[in-house]
Amino acid sequence: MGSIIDISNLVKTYGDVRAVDNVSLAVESGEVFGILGPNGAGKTTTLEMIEGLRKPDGGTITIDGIPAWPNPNKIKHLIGVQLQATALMDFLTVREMVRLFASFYGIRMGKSKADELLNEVALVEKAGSMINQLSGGQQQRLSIALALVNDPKVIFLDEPTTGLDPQARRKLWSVVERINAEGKTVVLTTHYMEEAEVLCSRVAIMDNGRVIALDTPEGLINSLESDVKITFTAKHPLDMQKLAKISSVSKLSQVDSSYSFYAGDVQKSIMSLLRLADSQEVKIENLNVAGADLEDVFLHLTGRGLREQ
Amino acid sequence: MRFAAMVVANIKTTARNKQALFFLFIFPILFMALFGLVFGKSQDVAKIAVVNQDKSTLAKSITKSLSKIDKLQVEKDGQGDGMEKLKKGKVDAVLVLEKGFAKNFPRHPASIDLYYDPTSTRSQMMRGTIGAVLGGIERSMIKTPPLITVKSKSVQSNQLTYIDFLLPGILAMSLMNSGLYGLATAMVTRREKGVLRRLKLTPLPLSQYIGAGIINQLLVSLVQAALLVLIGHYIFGVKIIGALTSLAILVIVGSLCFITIGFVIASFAKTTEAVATLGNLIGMPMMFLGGVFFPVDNVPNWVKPIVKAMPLKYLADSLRSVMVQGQPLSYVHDDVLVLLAVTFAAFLLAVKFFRWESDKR
Repeated sequence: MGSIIDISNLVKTYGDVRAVDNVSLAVESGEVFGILGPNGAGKTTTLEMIEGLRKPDGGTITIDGIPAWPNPNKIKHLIGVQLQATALMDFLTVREMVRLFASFYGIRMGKSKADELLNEVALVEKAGSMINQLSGGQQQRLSIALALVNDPKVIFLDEPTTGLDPQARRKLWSVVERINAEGKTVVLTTHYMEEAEVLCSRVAIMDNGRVIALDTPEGLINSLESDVKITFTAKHPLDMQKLAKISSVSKLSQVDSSYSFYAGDVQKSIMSLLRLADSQEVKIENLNVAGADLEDVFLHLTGRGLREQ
Repeated sequence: MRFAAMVVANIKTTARNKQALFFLFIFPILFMALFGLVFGKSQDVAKIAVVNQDKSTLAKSITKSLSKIDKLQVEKDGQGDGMEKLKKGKVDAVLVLEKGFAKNFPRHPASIDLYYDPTSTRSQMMRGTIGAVLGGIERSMIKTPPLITVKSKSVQSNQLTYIDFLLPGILAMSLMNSGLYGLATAMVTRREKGVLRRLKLTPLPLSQYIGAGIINQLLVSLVQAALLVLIGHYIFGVKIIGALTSLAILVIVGSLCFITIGFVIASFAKTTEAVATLGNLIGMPMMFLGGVFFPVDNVPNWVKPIVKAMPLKYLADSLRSVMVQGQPLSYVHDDVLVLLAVTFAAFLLAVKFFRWESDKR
């Protein structure tokens, strides 16, 4: 499969700030491509330039071989978009909204066809409800349905699960997986690393307008040298200096009674930890050993957490 | 097809927004009712209380002649609370025919007491009216032919009552308000919510989106106008003698003018609150000086240029000429030209400053 989106040297500047700084990417046809990064990293700006909403200051974008700029009208039939803010009209029913959007593309969508589409985003039981009566998750799924009305090749989802409860988030994930299974390419932004790990075949990590890493989620995690994270709580303080001396321990941190560190040799470091606790007569609780995740990759690359400002 | 679909969607959203509908349709009617009741109340009927304590034929014929006068309501007052009513302004004069006032008439002159309120013009006018009536009776009794006869010939000046004046004004005002706020509010709300950005991503052209909004707003205005005209005619008794097609054309021209000004507001206002503020800034002065509630022909000289710059004045004037004075469209073509010119100028401004997004980053 070749690439369906090709971006090279994309630049967008607001005043003195380079919101998108020389970004080059290729999205493969049929994949779920994630752009991961904290707020203000340039994810949305990048996405909206690809969609034809914001004019780039430099660089080129092509979708399925067609340049998105200077005339974004040419790519409108190729793409479906869910914007970050749910942009829905009040006082229309879910089904009416879907059929209205279809009409914009010159598609005469019958009732049953509209319901078929709504079924795909698990919203068919709400087809007759007014849009303003929908929950946050339902509105997001309707937005996805609207992005699908023109049977596009590529779907863009901008932070589709931000602000949703875990259950609504899972439901939306399964919708994305279903769309992808039908052969559509999905490009999404998120600042939930879990979301990127579950959904994305490849992830670009953005920070300060640049792509600082691009690989499969596994590839990114494996790139970390110390790949095991050990966390525990202790009611009485542990001697941090002695803890640091345990072999292969790195990135030791303590917040109140919670401790965490990374270790190359899990067995050895846990044994040493337990011996240390014993000798200081400290009771260790909630001991947890976990492989690194994308959060750790981000932390490793930038020295900051994903959701820190 | 997508244009039709957008129009239908707009109509649905308008018709389902009960709160907005209330303001669109009930508000002008309430206004009409309120002003009509307060100011439009049978102003030109005078009331006189007659206290008749005499049983002579003269007393009877006086009462009879009085009751024949148009626009004079005669109240027979037996209880003697006529004076009280006069003090409260409920009658304009009290005529007292005392027992035996016409004893030995016509050998002895009869004496009649007329009480009136000098602070009320209508009450003062009663003096003259009663004097003329009594003079007439006197002459007919002593059989002298009048030396001067006044033949009154009524000229059909199509006398406008206040409510006749008010209805076209209220209609113009309602068209202005729904034009200024209706589309602008819908537009800014959609822009704030990002609906406009989302629409920009679809192949629906901007012109069709705007066109659909205008058509929806025009329909609202036409329904509003029809309701007001019907209620004005059937409930407040306004005589609508103008051609309905001319009226409809004026309603459309006027609405378009204010809808376009609404567009300019929508282009400049960032929030719906700002729409209200800007709308009030433009609409309020016009409501009071645009000739809606009272004629503005006699305003002080320095106010005249302000009045002349108000599109509402041209709409109210032309509606009034056509609706209740029965003038043809050609009579108001100056007003129509002004409204069209304002529409054009506003359109250019609106297109120049149109924004898809709240924050132009």
